[in-house]
Amino acid sequence: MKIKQIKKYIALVLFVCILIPVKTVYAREGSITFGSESYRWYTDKVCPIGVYVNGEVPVGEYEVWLEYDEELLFYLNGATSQEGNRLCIKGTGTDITNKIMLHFQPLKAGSTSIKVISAQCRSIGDVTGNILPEDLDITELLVAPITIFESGSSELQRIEIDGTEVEDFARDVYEYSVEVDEDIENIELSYIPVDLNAVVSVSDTSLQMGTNEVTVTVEATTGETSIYTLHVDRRTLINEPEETATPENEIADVQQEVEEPLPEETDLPLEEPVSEEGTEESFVVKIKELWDKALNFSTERDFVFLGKSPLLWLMTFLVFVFMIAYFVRFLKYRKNERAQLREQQIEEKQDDDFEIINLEQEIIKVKNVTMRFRLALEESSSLKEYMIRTVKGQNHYHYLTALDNVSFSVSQGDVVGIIGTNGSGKSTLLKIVSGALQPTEGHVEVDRSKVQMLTLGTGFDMELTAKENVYLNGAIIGYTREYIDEKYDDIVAFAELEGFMDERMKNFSSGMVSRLGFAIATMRDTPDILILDEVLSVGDMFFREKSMQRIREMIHGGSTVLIVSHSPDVIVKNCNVAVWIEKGVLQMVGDPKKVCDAYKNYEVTGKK
Amino acid sequence: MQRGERAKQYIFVIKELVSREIKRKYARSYLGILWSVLNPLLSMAVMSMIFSTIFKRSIENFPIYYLTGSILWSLFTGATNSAMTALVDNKNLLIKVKLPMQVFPLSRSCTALANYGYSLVAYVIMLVIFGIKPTLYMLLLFIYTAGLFMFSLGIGYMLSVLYVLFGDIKHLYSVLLTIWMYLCAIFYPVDSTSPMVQEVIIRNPVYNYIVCTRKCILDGALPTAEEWARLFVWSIGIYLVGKIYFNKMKTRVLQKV
Repeated sequence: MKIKQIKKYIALVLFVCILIPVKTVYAREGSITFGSESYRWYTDKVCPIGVYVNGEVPVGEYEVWLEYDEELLFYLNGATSQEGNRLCIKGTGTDITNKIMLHFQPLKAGSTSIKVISAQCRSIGDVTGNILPEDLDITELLVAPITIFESGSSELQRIEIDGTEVEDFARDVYEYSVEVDEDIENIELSYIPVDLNAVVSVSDTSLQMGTNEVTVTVEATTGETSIYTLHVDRRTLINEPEETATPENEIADVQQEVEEPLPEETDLPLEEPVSEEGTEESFVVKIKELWDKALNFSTERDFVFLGKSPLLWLMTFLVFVFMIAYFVRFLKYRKNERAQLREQQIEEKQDDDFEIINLEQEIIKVKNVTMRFRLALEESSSLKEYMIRTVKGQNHYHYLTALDNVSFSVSQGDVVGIIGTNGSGKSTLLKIVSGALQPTEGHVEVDRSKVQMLTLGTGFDMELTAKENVYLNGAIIGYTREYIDEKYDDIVAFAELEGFMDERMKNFSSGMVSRLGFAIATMRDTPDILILDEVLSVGDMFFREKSMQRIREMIHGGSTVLIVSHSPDVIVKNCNVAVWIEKGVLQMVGDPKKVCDAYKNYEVTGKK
Repeated sequence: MQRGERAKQYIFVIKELVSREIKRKYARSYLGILWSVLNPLLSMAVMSMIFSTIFKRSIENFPIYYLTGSILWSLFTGATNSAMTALVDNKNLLIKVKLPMQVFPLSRSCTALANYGYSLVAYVIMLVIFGIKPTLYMLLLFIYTAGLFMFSLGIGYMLSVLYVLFGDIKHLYSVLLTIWMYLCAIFYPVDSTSPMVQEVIIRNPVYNYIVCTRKCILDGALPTAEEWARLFVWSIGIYLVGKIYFNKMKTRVLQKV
């Protein structure tokens, strides 16, 4: 019950979701950029840097935090506020790009940067209020690298050999010793002078085995010179472990390992874990890269990534939850069914034991069944009328009581005849017993899976051939294909329709149609409870006799039978119990002869 | 065990009912089932003759463009229209036979699906004739079809109940279908309409199925995230709503019928 209610609500929510027009809100992008990609500044000048707040749409309010290096730079002005080495720029813009100039005084030569550490900006809203200001999406926080020079100096800021900086480099230390791999025949030197205008010359960089000397000569604009000497030691690989012992880039380490897989065999065992770590790391790095790529791929194509609309996400989520709920319910249902099956089997066993003791078990119990049909006083079969009536409050109904508090019970093996005048509720009662209708009040105790209602020619289609109709009708009344295949010849023989089976049914006489219907309907294995609704008046005299015989066989096959008939004779002949219903009220139950006599009397007197 | 058998039995019943509908439909024609293939082809020929000159510039491959929309649309109308009358037509079966009531609208919808299968034959022939290169994306068609089928089934369930309660629904629905068809952009490009109408068309669930199919067949492309979401939400949502409504109204239908 609870699950059902929840289900209803979820369905409602889903439906409402569908009705709400899906308006995807794409967050617009903004960015913080600098005037140029990198800066070269001199210590003797005040240096400006332009910070730009950009947006896809005009930017309104913004707040940007920058960080700079206090050792190398001295902040002068431009920002809204300063907190230590952090600067805050706050303001309200009007345009797509908004420029803010900051001024710094470089203190000494070196490399540094100014970083954007956080940024927020909102778009400018419409004056009329139609477009509300929204947060702009800032995906990247840029960094502006800055190199500071001192004019007039003859010193270097930095020397790099093959891209790695020389260790412990200082401006005023002029001699260094460096060790390089045996393989390297030529080193590539790069340098940054303190004064950009200084002239730098480098001696021959090709290496011999052993110690080499490389000199870098710097001549300043003032004519002053200084010489840096590098003692480059080109060595065999045995020294390598020592080198790796000094803190160095691990990736370089890995590269070396990959390039030289041989030495591992001759090396100390100490090296092994190092190399393993290296390869492992590279493996992890690779996977990470792949993962990043995959993620990038999926975010680029929005068929996997649902975009930024929360509504879409909500709907997808709901659908997902729904599917899971359904699945769980399905599992539960199956479990229940299995349990029921087991119970049934146990019960059946008990029943078997029980039957020996008590054959006269009641298998149908009709308890206080009342059936009311609600009929509109003036049937409104059109929507318009219905609406008008509902609005006016004129939807009056009257209730037709087809059955009024009927109760009786049927024992196993009984053949019950139900008798009554037209419209007295006999067929309604059968429908309730077979489960096609739910009674308004009261209930019927019966195992519905055992009940079979014998119906003639339900679902015959006159446009189809007789053979096709056998399958169609058989399927509808619950035969399997295999069963029909098996019994087909019997059906044809019983209906006496050999040679007509490929004819269209519309060319059949009504007798032929009902014979075929009867043949199909009675071909089944005798069910436990059989319900016959006016089926005993089919075909010509000979066929009627034959069908009577068939029904009698079924009756005496041990099943419990309910027969509805207008004819008291049929009931007296075949039944051992009769039930008389008149205008929905149970009149009499008992010996068929007595009941039928009473009924006949009523008919005679009632008509008077 | 029991469940499996019962399901098998229902499938058999549905199969028989479907084959009855199809046989019945072409019972008095010479070409019979061939009409299911011919019909979309002929209407495509007519529409192409009339409209392809008008929309020459905006639609690249008009015959296929039209055919894609039209077979999906006829699946939808076929399924809903015939499911609508299913309960009323099978009145006597409903009461007498112990079958679940869903079987009737379901079998009608399945009939439409079977017809769609036949028109798909015509469709494939046309794809070959017009030299559309087969891609793997074309397999998505089955997903879209399943989605549209569920959507139609949900609507069919609701309509079948409503039709029992109010006969007028039939006429109302035919009017609604006409409007709906024009909002599906079956034979004209969406861009040729005003922005307001475009908005409506894009929200139209049936158009969503059509545009997804066109994308996978003509462009070899995938639908956007929104289209995916709409596709699934509409299919599953309407199916569940239809089913729940149907189950709720069962007893009332039995009384009224």
